[in-house]
Amino acid sequence: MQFPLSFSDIILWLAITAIILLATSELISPYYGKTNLLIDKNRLRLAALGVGIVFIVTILVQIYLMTPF
Amino acid sequence: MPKTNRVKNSEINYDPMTLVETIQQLETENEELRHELWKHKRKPTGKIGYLLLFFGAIALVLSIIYTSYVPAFVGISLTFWGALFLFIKPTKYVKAHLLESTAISTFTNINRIIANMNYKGKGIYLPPQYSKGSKDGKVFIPTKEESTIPPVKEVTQEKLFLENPKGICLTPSGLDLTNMFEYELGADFTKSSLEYLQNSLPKLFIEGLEIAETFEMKKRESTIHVTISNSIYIDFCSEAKILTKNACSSFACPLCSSIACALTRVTGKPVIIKKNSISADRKTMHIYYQILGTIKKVSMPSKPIMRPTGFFLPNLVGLVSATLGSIILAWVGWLTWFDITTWNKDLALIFFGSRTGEAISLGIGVRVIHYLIIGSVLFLSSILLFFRKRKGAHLGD
Repeated sequence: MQFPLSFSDIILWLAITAIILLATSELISPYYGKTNLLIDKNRLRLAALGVGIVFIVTILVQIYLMTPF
Repeated sequence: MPKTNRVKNSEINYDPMTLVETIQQLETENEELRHELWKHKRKPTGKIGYLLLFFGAIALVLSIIYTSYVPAFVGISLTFWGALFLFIKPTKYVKAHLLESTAISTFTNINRIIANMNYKGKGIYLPPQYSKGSKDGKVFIPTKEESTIPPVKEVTQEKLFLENPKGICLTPSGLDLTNMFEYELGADFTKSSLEYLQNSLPKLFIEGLEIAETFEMKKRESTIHVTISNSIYIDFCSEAKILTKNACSSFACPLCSSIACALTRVTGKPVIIKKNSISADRKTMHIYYQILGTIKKVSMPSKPIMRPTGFFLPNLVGLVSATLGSIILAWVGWLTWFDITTWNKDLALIFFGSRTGEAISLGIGVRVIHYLIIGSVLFLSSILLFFRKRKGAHLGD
C-alpha cells in the first residue's frame, strides 16, 4: 500500500488548482462590480496565493532535483 | 410547494368564531410560506465543506489501498475544496437592507428633535482638539443658519446644549465608522494628510469594506467633492432625505458623517456638509464638504497602527504574477541568447526542440515555447489588471 501520486503529479494538480483559484479570486474582485457571492473574498485570495506559492516552491524543488551537480 | 389550505373570499363566513379559525388558518399558511421563502434565501453553510472533506478522505484511503491514480486525484481535490469551503464560508455577512431597517427610526427621531427645537444651522464637525481623545468627535448644530464655530473651552465641558454660540453638541452618527476606517487602514488620520485620505479611501470603500463600487474624492480650494456610486448606504440616505428635511446638512447619515469626521481629523479644521445629492437613478451620491479655514499640511503616517493582511492581497496577486512573468521571460531570453551564441541553434529548434532529459522539461516534456507562453501570459495579465484596477479605483487628484 502506497500513495499512488508522484511528486510530478502533485505539481500538476497544484498548478491547475492555483490557476483556478487565482483566476476566481481576481474575477470576483469588487473592482468588477458586485458579484453577490457570499464568501470571504480576502480569504479566497489568501488561499489562491498560498497554493500559487506552494506550486512555485515545488517547481524549484523539482528543478533542484533534476539538475546534475 | 408547501401544502397550503388557501382560503377563498367566497368561503369566508363572517361568524366571529369562524373568523378566528380563518385567521389562525391564514397565519399557519403565512408561516409555511415564510419558511419556504427562507429555504430559497438561505445562506451557504459549512455542510458542503464537511461533506467534501468526508468523501475526499474516503477516496484518498481507497487510492492508497488499491494504489490507483483516479481516486487519488479525486480525493486530494475533494479534500482540498472541502477545506477551502470551510475556510471561505461567510460568517460575517448580513443583508444590506438591514442597515436601513435598524437605524432609520433613530436617525429620523434625532433629526425631528433637532428640527422641533429650531436648530436651523448646518452641522459643524469639530476637529480632534475639541474632544478629549483623538478617537472622539463632535458635531455642533447652531440655532442660526450662519456657521458659528464654538470655542474649544465651551465644547470640552461635555455639555449637550451650548450657550455661546447657542446650539446643540452631539456625537456624529459616523464616528465609529471613521474609527473603523482608521483601524482597517492602520493609520491615524490626525497624523495623515488629505492626499493620503484621497488615495486610501477608494481602496478601502471598494475593496476593503466593499461598501461602494466606486469612490472619488476631489479637492477644489476649501471644498471637497466626494462621489460614491452603488453604496450600501444609498437607500438609507435617500430614505432619510424623504423623511427629514435638511437631514444631511445638520445630523447627517453615518456614511456622509464618517467622511466629514475623517476630513476634520486630517485637516485639523471644522468641516460642514455643504450639499448632498443623489442621482435620479439612485446610484450615485455627490457630497460637498466645506472646510472652514485653510488646510494645514501634515506629513504621512510614519508608523501604521495595524493593517489587516487581506488589504494587501489583490496587489500581491498582481505583483507575484508580474515578478514571475518577468523572471520567466528574462530566463527564456538568456537561454535563447546562450543557445544562439554557443550552440548556433536556430529559433525554431530552441523554442520547439525537445528537452527530454534536461531539467527544463520537468520530466513531463515541457519545451521553451511553453515557458515563453506562461511568462507572457503572467506578465501581460498582471499589467492589464494593474491598469484595470487604476481605472476602477477612480483615485482622487
